[in-house]
Amino acid sequence: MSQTVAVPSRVQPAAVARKRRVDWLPYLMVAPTVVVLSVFSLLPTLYGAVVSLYRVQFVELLDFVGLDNYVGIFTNPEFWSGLRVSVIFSFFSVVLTVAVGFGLALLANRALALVPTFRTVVVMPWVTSYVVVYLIFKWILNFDDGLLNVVLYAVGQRKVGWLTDPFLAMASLIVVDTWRAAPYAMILLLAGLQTIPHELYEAAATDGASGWRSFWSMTLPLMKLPLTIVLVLLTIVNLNTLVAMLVLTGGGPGRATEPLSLLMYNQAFQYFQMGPAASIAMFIFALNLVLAAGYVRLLRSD
Amino acid sequence: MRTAGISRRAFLGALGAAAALPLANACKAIPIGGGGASATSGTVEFMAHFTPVGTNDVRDDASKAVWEDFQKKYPNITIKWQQTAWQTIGEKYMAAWSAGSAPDISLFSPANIAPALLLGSVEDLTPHLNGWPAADKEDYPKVWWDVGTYNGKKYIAPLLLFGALPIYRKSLFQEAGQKVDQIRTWDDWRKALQAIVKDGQGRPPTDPAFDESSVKVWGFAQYAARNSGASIPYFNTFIVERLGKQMVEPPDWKADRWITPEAIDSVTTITNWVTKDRIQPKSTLNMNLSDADKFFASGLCAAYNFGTNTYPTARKNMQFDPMDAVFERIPSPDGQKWGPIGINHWSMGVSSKSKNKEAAFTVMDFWLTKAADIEFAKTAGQQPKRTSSLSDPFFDKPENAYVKTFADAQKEWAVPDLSAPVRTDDILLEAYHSIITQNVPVRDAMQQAYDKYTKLLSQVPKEKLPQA
Repeated sequence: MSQTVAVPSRVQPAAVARKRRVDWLPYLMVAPTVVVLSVFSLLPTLYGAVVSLYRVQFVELLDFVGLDNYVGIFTNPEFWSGLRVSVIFSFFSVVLTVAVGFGLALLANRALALVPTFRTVVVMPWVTSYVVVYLIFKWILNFDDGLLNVVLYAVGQRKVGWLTDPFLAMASLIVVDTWRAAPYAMILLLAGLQTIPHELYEAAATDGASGWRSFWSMTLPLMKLPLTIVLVLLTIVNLNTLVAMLVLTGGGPGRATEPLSLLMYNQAFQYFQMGPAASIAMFIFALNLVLAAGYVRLLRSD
Repeated sequence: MRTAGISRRAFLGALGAAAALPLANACKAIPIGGGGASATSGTVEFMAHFTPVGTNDVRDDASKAVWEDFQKKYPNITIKWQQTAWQTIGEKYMAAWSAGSAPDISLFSPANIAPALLLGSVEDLTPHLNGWPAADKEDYPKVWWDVGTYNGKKYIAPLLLFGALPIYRKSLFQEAGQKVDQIRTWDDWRKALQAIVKDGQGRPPTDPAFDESSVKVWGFAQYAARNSGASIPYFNTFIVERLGKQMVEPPDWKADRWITPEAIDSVTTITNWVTKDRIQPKSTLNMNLSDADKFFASGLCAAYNFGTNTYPTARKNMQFDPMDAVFERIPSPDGQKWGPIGINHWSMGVSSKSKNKEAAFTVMDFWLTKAADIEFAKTAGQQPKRTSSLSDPFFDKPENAYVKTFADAQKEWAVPDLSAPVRTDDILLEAYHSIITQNVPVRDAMQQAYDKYTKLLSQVPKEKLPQA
C-alpha cells in the first residue's frame, strides 16, 4: 500500500522528506509474529482452500473439481447432523459457561478474606490439560464403576448411562465443557467487573437500591460489552471443539456427539478424504470468520 | 527521532527471505531418491506403539531385550525410536511420508496397510525376502506370507501375528452350572452367558424386571466406542461362517454381503446380546480397547474376546486367579466345527522413501529372528510366528499353554484380517450403535453402512484396488 502525505504549502521540503520516512521499528517488532502466523496458520489455511477444490489422494492433488467437494458435503446427511451437534453443543455450552462464569466472577469480585484462595481453586480446571480433564470425566461418568454412578447406586438410585445414551451423552459433554471453561469466562468477566467504579454501588445503596436492583440496573448494563465478547469468543472455541468428543465419546453413541470438527477429522484421517475434509474445514473457517468479524466490530464499538 | 534507516522495499525483501528460509529448509529435508548407505551402518527410525523406550506394556520389555541384542551385533546401526498411539500410527506414517519425513520402518495393522499402499509409501519387500535362507522362509507359516501380499508382492513383514479367542472365567461358569468347553454354538454361548448374569436382586436377564444398573458381573464385554478402532464384535466371523467369504474381499472389495439376509440375521444376533439378551452392557459402546481389557481384568465380566497382543499385559493386572481364565475355541452356528479365528497383525513396513533401506532391512530381519520370536513369546506372552518356536519347552508350562490353543485354532481355520482399501471398522460400528441406542432397524442400519462404504470405495480408482 502506498503512503501519501498531504503537505501544507508552508512546510519546508526537508520536513516533508522526514515525514515521509516510514518508521520501521513497529513492523520489525511484529515481523516474527507475522512470519510465524503466515507459515503455520495463513499458508495452511490457503492450502486448505486449494485442497477443498481438488480430488485428493491423501495429500496429492489429483484433479481440479471446482465446488464438487462442497456439493458433496452439503448433500451428505452426516454434514447436517454434524452441524446440528456443533450448534447444540456450542449454544448450550456457551450459555451455561457464561452464566456460571459470570456467577463465579461476581463471587470473586467481592472483598472477602477467602477470595484469593477461591480464585485459585476455581481457575484449576482451566489450567489443567484438556485431555486429562476429559479422561477424568470419562471415568467419573462411566456406567459400571464411575464415581457418579457408584454414588447414585449407594444412595439407592439406578445407574445412568451418562455417555451411552444419545441425549445424556450430549448433556454430559456440555456440563463437562462448562466445568472446564467457566473459569476462563470468569477471568474475562472479572476483569470487566473490576472496571466498574465502586462508588456507583455506594451511591445506589445510599439511594436505597437493593443488591438485585444494583445488579440488574447497573452491573448488567455495564457488563454488556464484556459479556458479548466472552459469548463470541466461547462460541468460536466451541465450534472448533474436537478433543472433548474424541476423548469422552468418540462421537458416539451413533453420531449423537459427532460435531463438524470430528466429522472433518474422520473424513481426513479415517477415510483419507482430504477434499471433503478440507471443504468442511473451510465451512467451519467461514463460520469462525463471521464470528470473528462480529468480535472485531464489538471491540471497535467499545 | 530517526528510528530505522532501511527502505520499505529492503524491509519487505528481508521479511520475504525470513519467511522463505524455513520453507527452503523443509524442502531440503525431502529425500529425492534412494540412499546408498552401507548395509551395516547408519541410523534407522522405527515408529511403533511398543518400543524399548515405552514403559506400560510387556511388549516394550521384549522390544528392549531385542534392541540390546541388536546393539551388540550391529553397533554401527543406530535405531531412533518413535513411540506413538496404535490408533493413529497409520495416519501419522502417511502424513510423515507425504512430508518426506517418514520413519524408515513403521508398524502397520490391517486398518492402514491398504491406504499406505495406495499412496505408494511402502517398499516392496519381495526382492529382499527372496534372499532369505530357505530354512527361514519355510519356518514361517503360509498365513505369515499371505498377510500384506498384494499383486504377488509382499509389502509388510508381520512382527506380531495374533488371533483372538473367547476367554472364560471357568469358576463363574461352573457356579452357574455351565461348562466352558461345551460352548460350541452361538446359542450355547448366549444361554451360558445368560446363566452368569444376575441383577442385584438375583434376577436373570430373561426376567422382565431385570435391573441392568445393579449387575455386578456381566456375561461379555467388547470394546465398541466410536473412533477407537473397534468394529461390530465377531461380525466377520459370522459372515465367514455363514457365507464362506469375508465381509469384504478382493478383487472388487464390494460390501454386497453386508445386506444379505445372513448378514442382517448375524447383526441382529450380535446386537441382541446388548438389547434383548442383556449379556453385554451398553457401557461397552463407550469402551476403547484398554477400557475393555481392564473391564475383564477387574472381574466385571465373565467372558471376553482376547487377542494374544494385549492378553499378557491384562493378565498381569487380573483381580482374580489368571489360571481361572481359560481360552476356548470360537462357537459356530451349528457347532459341527469350531468357528474361524481371525488373524490380526502388527507388521513392519519399510518406507519407500527411506534413505537407508539396507540398514532398515537389517533391523527388520533382526526383529524376525527366531531369538527375537522367542523373546517376544517369553517376555511379552506373544504368539510365536515361526513354526519351530512352538517346540520350545516354555510353551509346555500350564501358564503358557494358551499359545498352543491359538496355534491349534489357526491350523484348523484361520482367516487373515484383510486390509480393505476403505476402512470398514467405524462404518460398521456406527450401524451397530444406531441399532442399539436409536432402535434403527438392522436392515436400515446395514444399508446405510453399505451405502457409505460403497461411496467411499467408488473414490478409489479400480486399477489401484489391492489384489491378493
